[in-house]
This record gives sequence, C-alpha cells and structure tokens, in this order.
Amino acid sequence: MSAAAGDDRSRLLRALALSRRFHLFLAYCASPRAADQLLRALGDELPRLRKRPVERVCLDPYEGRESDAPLSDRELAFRILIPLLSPPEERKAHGVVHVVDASRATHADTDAWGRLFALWNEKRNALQQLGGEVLVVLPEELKRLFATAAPDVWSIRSGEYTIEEETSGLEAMSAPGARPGVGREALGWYRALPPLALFGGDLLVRPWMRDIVLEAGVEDLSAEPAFRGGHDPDKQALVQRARRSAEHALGQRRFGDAERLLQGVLASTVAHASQENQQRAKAAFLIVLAAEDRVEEALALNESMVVSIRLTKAWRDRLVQAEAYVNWCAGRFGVAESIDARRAKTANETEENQSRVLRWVERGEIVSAKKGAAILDIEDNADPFEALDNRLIRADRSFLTGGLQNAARYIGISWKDGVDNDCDDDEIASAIRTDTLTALVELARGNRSRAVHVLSRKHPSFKRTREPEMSARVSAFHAFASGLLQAEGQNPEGAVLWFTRARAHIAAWSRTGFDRRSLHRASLAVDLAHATLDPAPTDPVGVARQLVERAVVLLGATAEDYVARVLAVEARRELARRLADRGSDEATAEAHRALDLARPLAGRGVPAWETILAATERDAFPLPAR
Amino acid sequence: MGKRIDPAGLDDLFGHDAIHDRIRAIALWSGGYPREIVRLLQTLLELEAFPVSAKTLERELHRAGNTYRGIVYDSGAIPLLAAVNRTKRLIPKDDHEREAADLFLQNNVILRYLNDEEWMDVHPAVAGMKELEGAELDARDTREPASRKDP
Repeated sequence: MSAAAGDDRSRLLRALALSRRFHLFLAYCASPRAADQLLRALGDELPRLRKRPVERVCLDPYEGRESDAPLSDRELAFRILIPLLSPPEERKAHGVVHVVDASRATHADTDAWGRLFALWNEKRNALQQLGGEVLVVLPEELKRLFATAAPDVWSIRSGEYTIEEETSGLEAMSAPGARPGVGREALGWYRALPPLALFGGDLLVRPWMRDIVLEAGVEDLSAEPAFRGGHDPDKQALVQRARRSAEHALGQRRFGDAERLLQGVLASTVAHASQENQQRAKAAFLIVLAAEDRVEEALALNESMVVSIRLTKAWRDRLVQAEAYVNWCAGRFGVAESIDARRAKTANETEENQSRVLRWVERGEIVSAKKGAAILDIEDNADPFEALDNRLIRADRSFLTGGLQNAARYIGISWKDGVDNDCDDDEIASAIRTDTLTALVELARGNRSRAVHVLSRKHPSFKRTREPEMSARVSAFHAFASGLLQAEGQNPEGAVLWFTRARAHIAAWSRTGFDRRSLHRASLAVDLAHATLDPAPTDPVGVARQLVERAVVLLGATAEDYVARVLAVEARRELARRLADRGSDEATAEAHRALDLARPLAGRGVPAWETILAATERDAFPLPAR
Repeated sequence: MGKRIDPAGLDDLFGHDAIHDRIRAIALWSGGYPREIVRLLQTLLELEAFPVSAKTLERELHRAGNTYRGIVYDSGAIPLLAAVNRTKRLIPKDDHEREAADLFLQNNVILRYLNDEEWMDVHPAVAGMKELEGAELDARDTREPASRKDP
C-alpha cells in the first residue's frame, strides 16, 4: 500500500470522526479486500476516535446472496435505496453511519447500479433526513458512473478517498517478520502464476497440434483390406499406410501404438519407404517422444535428423511444428520461437495470436504479451467461442500483472446455471475454465463469496471434447482453485483434500495431454501447495527436496521459463523454511539459492514477481533480531 | 469561510499572516462556487499538521482537482472544453459534444456564470491542463487546411 493510499484511509476516518451531521463520503476501493479492510477499520477505530458508540448500517446487496445472476433493479432498491432513504426513526440520528457497499459489483451488474444511482439522484432530497453520514464504497469501475448517473448526489460529497489494500496474501509474504508458511498467506504465490500457464497449455500448443488432432478424426487405416491381408499391395504403400495409421494413433493419443508403428516405418529401408515418408514419420515420432516426456530422446533424434530432400511445404511445416513443440517441451523457448518463425501460419489467425501471447507470458516478456493481447478480439461478433478464449487470455495476463479489476471485467460476463445447456462439450469445458479463472481473480481481489459462488456453479456434464484430456485438465484447475479457496478460508484440511483431487485429475490429464510443460507446472504447483499445507508430512524436508529437484529439472538448463522459475523459487523457499525449522545450517544456503533464482524476476512488469523477490531477499538476509 | 470557521480557527488553520493568501488561493480554485470552498475547508481539516502551508495547500488543490481532470479524460471531449476555455461560450457541435456538455455541466467541469449575460468557463482545476492547449492547436489545424489549399 502506498503512503498516499494509507493517508486517504486515515483522512476518511478523521473526517468521519470530526463529522457532527449528515455528510456524504465516497471511498474508491481497489478491491473487495480493500473495502473489507476499510470497514473493519471503521468498526474498530471510529468509536474510539469519536469517543462514543457508532452504529454501522451496512447496505451490501451481495451479502448472503445465493444466486450469482446479475443484480436486479428490485434487489438493489430493496437492499440499498429503501433502507437508505426510508430508514426507521432510530437510524436517522447522528451516530449511525450508513455504508453503501458496491465493492463486489461485477461487470454484469454495472447497468443495474447505474439505474440505482439515477433513482437515488431523483430521490436525493430524502437524504436530508439523515443526521449521520453516508459512506459509498465504490469499485473503480463504478466511480465515474456514480458521478454521471447521480450528479446531484455526487455534487454534495464532502470528500473522496482512494483506498488500496492494506495487505494481501502476496504482500504479507514480504512483510517484516512474516512467516508465510502458515495461515492464509502460505499460498500467496499463486498470484504470481498466470493460471493459463498451468491449465491452458492446450491453447498454446494448438497451432502446432492442429494437423495431428485432425488425424484423429480420419477413418482408422488399419481396418483397410491391405492391413487385413486382403491382397498384396506393394511394400511402399504399406509403409505409407503404416505411417498414416501411426499419425492417426497419435491424434487419438494412443502413444504406444503410434510409437510401435513409427518405429516400423523408420526401420524400413529406403527402397520401401520414401525419404519424404521417413521425414514425416520422424516428425510424428518427435511428438510421440515429447508427449511421453522423453524430451531428451526427442532432442537427440532431432539432432540426428538430416533433411537433405526437398519436402513439400505442408510436410516441411509438419516437421517444423514438431521441432518447435519438442523444444517448447524442453523449455528451450528461444529455439522454439526461431524454429516456429519458419513455419507457415495456420489459417486460424486467432489461435496463432492466442498461442503467441501465452508464450510471451511464460517467457516473462510482459510488454510484448500486453501488445499481443490487445489485438485479441473480445467481442462476440466474430465467434463467441473464440472471443471467450480471447477474454480468458487477456484476463490471464491481467491477473499476472495485478490488474485484477481488468481481469474481472474481461471474464465478468457470467455463465448462469443452465444457460450452457445448448453448448457443445468443448464450449462447456471452456466455460468451466473461464469460471475457474474468474473465481481465482475474485479470490485474489478478496471477494471470497463470489469465488465460492462461481466455483459452485452447475454445468452440464460433458464427455466428447475434441481433446480427450480436456475434462481432466479443467477438473484439475477447478480442484486447484477450490484448494486455494479453502486455504484462504483458513481450512488447510479442506485445501489438502482438494489438492489431492487435483493430483488425480492431473494424472488422468497426463495420459493424453500434449501440453506437457503446462501439465508439469500445474503438477508442481499442486504438489507444492499440498506439501505446504499438509498437516502431517512424514518427511517434511525430504518432500521439499523432491519438489526442488523437480522444479530444477522443469526450469532446465536454459531457465527461460519464468513460471517454472517462480515455482522453483517457492520450492526452494519452502525447503529453506523446513531446514530452518529443523535448525539445519543448510537453511541459509538454500535461502540464498532461492534468491539467486529469483533475481531475474525483477523489472519484468509483474508486481507479484517483485514481491517474491523482496520476500526472498528478506529470507536470505533477515533483519537482525532486536 | 468566516461563517463556517471563526477567526481564531482560521488563524490556526492557515496561520495569521497567511490567511489572506490561502483564502484567495481557495477562492480562485473554487471558481466561485461556495460548495467547493466548503468542501476544500473540510478536506483541509482532515490534515494532521497546521497551519496549512502554501505547498500543502497546493498539493490539496491538486488532489481535489484530480476528480475533475479524471472526468475530462474519460469524456473524450477535450476539444469542446478547449473551446469553452478559449471562447467562454458553450456551443456543442454534435450529439457527442452535447452529451459531454451535459456531463460537464452536471459535474461542474464547466461552470455557468451570469453577469449582464450568461457566460461559461471551465473549472479552474481543468483550465491549466496542457491537453486543452493541444486540443486548441488541433482544432485550429483542422480548420486551416482548406485555407492552405486555397490561398
């Protein structure tokens, strides 16, 4: 929190303390958490400052609300305007502070709030009967709306105040004397991870995998007469069919079958398999190896591949896609980019742009990601499904850079229960993923009740998504977010339960997912969260060491993956804490290793990364005890 | 101000020797609207240290002016304000400017005065905005090409 923002909070409290009659104060709150902190301070400090009791009447239309549907005019009138403008006699006296709390307003509620403000403006004279103060708590999104829709009410304001968060889970990590391994701050690092870098890898690899996924839809060639021995085709045709059958198996994620068939093709002599066929088989084989987490083998195969023949453009692109994909899986992002630049882009420009933005984010190139995200069309006029993914990607970047209000705005268009009955399975899966990201954004903003609502939404079940692992990926994301929600609510046992569920979904996702790097990041994040809150670990230091080892492997030699870097820093910090708890001398060295890892996070335009760096510096160089 | 705060209070608030200067600064900033003056006084009373120095007052006036400047930035009608600033008249050219003019009047970004005849001016917090100067130049630029083409 900036000094100026803290100053505004004090000033508002002083203004309320000095007030002796009706006054209207406007508080612009950065988040629901900031609003909650302000109202708590009001309850704690105002009676002391005034030296007499203060009754606070909180008019919050979201409190205790069961539905997540946008607010209706009637609801707002009954919960705000009537109690405010027609209060019982005892609430008209000085000593009663009416708080109109709009801090939890969603994008979908904006119009309703606008109409409420306009109605309030018409009835403004009724305010004069109040002997006490009215405090209107507004999110940034409603600030201007209040001034324009209720100009006469606005004009009698006695003061305006900008209220930021005192502390959030993330800031608490770097607070002097903080012990982030416990309490609700324990998993504050989730705010430093773009959620789609964990649970949105399918959007990233999609341009590289489009042809492969299409292969899954073609008829199984092994059922053709030639494969059943119906007649005796020439050997070259058989090898070609084996290659196509392997690609078909790869598209269906039957990696073992694909590998067996491809080995046969690659073992064929040049007389039986054209060089073109062999190169294409190698491209498919690269993907199989990477998808089975045998990246080193894939890289070695790639190194040994000498393409001396002129391939057709489409076939050459297949090879380039495979090479880019393998290098991405290996964390060699720079190489993957330069290879990918040689590829003719697919016809779907939106998918290409989506993938590019996600790759910029994971490489920590936030400025480029911002520019790239800006061109992602979020209007529904083209393709609502694409627009939803675009909003998701823009929200993901905003989440990482701390623009939570923007993130909430991008994905604030709610999918109400039952609305998605007409959608296909992929759209339902996408809606669940959007809901889960919405919940994370709301959780980060301190709007826990909305996060609970959104995570509890009922969606129709879905089975036949284009990708078989979509259900598992989305369920893992949902379970991870649910675990974070429980952790935030001081329920570590509940959180651990959810993280255990997330692990099971990740295991299912792992069997068929192409998005290996995202999957491994998600797995590490879930396991780190689980280990952090596990109430009875059998070997606390051993578990933390394993997490560090996994993080180091994931980060790889190139260390270009900033998401893996954040996870590696947090894994090392967790290990350092556990070593310190055991009184081990190794703790300081581990804290310094974490700091070395964290240093490149500086200056990337991600406040959460700066906070982690500051916290890591504090771990490595603790202030001397007084 | 004297009606709201007694002379001894004003002494404490501004310092005896600076009362005139401070009140003048506040009055000029208010654009002559008493509600603004009262609001500013109230804001100053929220401060912790007194008397209020010239620098502190300037900071507080700037802070209070942010509200009006925010409305201007959001309006997308800076050329209209620039024209009011220059001509002291409010003549919207199209629906967008009419809508903006309504907003500016309601939110006191444009203030209405009456001497022998009615005239307008922008709120003093807005008058010094660099963007208004730029907008005036832009407005002139858009008018001049015709004359340049046809000397």
